[in-house]
Amino acid sequence: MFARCIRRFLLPSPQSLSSRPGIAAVSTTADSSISPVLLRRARSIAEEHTKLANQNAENYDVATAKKIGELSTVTAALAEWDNAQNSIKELNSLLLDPTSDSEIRSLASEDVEATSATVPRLISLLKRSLIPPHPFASLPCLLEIHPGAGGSEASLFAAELLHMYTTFCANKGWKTELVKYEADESAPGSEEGLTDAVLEVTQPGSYNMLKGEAGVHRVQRVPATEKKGRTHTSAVSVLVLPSLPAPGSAGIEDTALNFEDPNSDYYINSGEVRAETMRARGAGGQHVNKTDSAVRLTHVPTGITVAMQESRSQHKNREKAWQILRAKLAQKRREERENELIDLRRKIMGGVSMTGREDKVRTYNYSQQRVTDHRCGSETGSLPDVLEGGQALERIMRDVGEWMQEQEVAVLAAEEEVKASDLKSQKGGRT
Amino acid sequence: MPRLPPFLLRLANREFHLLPALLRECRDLPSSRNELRWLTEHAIEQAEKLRTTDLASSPSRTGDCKNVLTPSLPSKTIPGWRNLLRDYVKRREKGEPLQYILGTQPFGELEILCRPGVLIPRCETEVYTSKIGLLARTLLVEQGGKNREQELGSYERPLRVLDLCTGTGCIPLGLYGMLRNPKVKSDEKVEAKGGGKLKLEVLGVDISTTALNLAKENLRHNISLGYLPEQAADEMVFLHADVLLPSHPAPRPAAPYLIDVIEAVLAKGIGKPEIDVLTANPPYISPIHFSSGRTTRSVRRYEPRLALVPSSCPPQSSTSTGLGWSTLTSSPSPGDEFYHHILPLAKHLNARLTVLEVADTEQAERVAELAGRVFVKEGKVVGESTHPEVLIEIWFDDGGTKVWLPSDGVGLGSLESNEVSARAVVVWTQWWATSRRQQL
Repeated sequence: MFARCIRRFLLPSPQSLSSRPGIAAVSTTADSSISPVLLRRARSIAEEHTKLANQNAENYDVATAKKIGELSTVTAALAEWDNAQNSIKELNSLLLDPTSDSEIRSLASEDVEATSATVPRLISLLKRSLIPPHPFASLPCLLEIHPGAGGSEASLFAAELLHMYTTFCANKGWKTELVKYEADESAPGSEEGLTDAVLEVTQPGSYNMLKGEAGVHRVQRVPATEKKGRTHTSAVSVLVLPSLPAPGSAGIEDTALNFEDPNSDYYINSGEVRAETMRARGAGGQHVNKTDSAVRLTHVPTGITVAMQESRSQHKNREKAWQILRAKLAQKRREERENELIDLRRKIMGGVSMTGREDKVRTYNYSQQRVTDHRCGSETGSLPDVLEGGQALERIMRDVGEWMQEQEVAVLAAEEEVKASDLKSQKGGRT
Repeated sequence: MPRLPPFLLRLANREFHLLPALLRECRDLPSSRNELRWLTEHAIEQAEKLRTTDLASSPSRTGDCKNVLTPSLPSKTIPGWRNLLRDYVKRREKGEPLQYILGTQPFGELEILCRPGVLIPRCETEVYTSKIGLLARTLLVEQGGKNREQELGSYERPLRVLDLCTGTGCIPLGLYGMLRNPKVKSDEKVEAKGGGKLKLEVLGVDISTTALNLAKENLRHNISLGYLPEQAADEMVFLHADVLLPSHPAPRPAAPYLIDVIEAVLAKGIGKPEIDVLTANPPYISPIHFSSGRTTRSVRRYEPRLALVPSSCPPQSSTSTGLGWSTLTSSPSPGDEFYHHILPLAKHLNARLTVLEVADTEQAERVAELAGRVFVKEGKVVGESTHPEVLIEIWFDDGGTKVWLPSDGVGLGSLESNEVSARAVVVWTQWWATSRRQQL
């Protein structure tokens, strides 16, 4: 049944097109088309927009006004697209009309070309406006880097990735702070390896730019310790977490993040968090002078733990630990919410569609000096520039971003298709 | 102290040649690594300072060293930091407290200067101090009922905090900071505004002039760092006085008697000579525990005995000064001496909240029992029905709280090696006790 939905989605049946006669003629004229299900969704959003606008004209409500604001981008994009379609239709009818003279015909055919040229851009605008905004998009973020398979070679590459992101942010003028850094003590020679690092990027909106970095980064090279010159493959996993503002900090009312509501993704019941200071046990007080300021937080229901020991101040360690715990929980809850979507995506795109934390996203191949992103297929030959966080890295990130948007659109269409066919089968069952 | 296993030392040595030296005091690798990082940061900072102040010094060559701790620290090229680090590690190996080497200790949101001759603020003290700040704030705010701002503004006289045996001044400074700059919560903007109107009078008392000078310096230091507001300089006072009885026979540094000093100060103030919050981290280690293994070498050798061990002579129970000492008949344990002086004083000054740091659960029980005898009239029992005006609690290192009742007081048991220890005995009186009861 699923395959049928997809086939219908990929090859729009003439029947579904003819159900909207106004569009049928148009779809053939535009080379880049929008699937009817997405269009239907856009129309229903526009309808809701009109309804709400009327409602607010009579009885103003702030929440409604906010909702209207969210819907207005779709409505505007749809209106622009409709305008273009209408003018193409009118011009076409002029062209086909045997009574119009040759001057008008040549003018009309020029206009048709010009207007048709704008259609693909309008369609892509409309598609993008349909993607619901990511709740973390406007936030700063935390990058967590862990070496995976590959032993000390992986920990060396983890340190290089950390360097890559640090310089990338520096190049963009973004401030970063190394929140956590655990050196890999077994790293060979004078090399720098790490076992765990958290980099905070304080730039608002950096989550949106860097969210595509989440996943497994693979390195293929001959390690320094390898004597026979064999190429090794190692992996480093990168986690991108939203950096949520601390509850109670200034200006939090202006954000949509609700820490007080138990149903919100950002709510943490402090009773469910076990805080341990490594030094709370045994003799204390004046008898001993403990310098250990480590703090470990455990969220009991999920088992997520965060340990912080960087600062001499227990107070600061606790604040940082809470920040990371909040981010991890929000991310986890978001992922759970997206799980159904992920399944859907996997079925549609097969394999690499969704970038779960266990998915391989990119390969850094040293012998070929090449970096390949496995999701969008973007490839660059300037490995050193990528590792220095330069233009080449930003290009890949942008390609990934666009790819992710396309995925979102495709999933959106598939969802609508499923909804539509469910409705149809229900109706069919009844008759 | 048990011997360090050789494999641990080998492991540490392979990591960094200075690490085994730190293991002697730290006892485990993770905390040795942390201390090494902090010492390295300090060494670099100091070297930078030396270089900028002493421009004549010729730049010495620095070779490449394995960057052990933090990646991309450009300042590692500053000459001289490695010699400083070696020196610091050597001092630390001999047992010198980290805080005396670095010169500071974080305490809540403050940075407390630390110097030989004055007790270093302990993390346990930090924990209960922030708890006092939170509770005092909540009570003051809740008591006002509907219009909190008005209540805070019209609080009849300044909220008075008195800290005895103040040392670095960490407790009064920390409490002042918490009461003056409460963390602004989204729904508490009004209260934050009200906090500006709350008048504060925070007093710190110590017998040691070294400690007093450092406490005053800490006040200025934290104002200059912006951790405390300017007005703290007017609202905080550090006083030189002896907490013990005038008739005390043991030889002690000369200082005016607390009772005289405090009455003189309070008489000058607005309202009755009363105290709202009385805190103390007095010397409480008995001579036996000081010389046995319980007190670590570093503390014994480097921190002032005056701040750790009460003078060995117990007070004469027959001396009566009108504050009610004569009613305390049982002979105190050697570590408990100060509590026998502080608790009657707290009652005399009508303290709404008294928090006394103690060594362990056993001492907590003794002090709680003593508090019951001091604060509750004879024939009455501390408990909800019989004496609602007094509430005695014991606070633990992990943040736990236990209401103390004489009947089940013995249930606390003695301290096992890995158990959470009691850290403070807390006495609530008057309407603070009633409010606290409702809270619990």
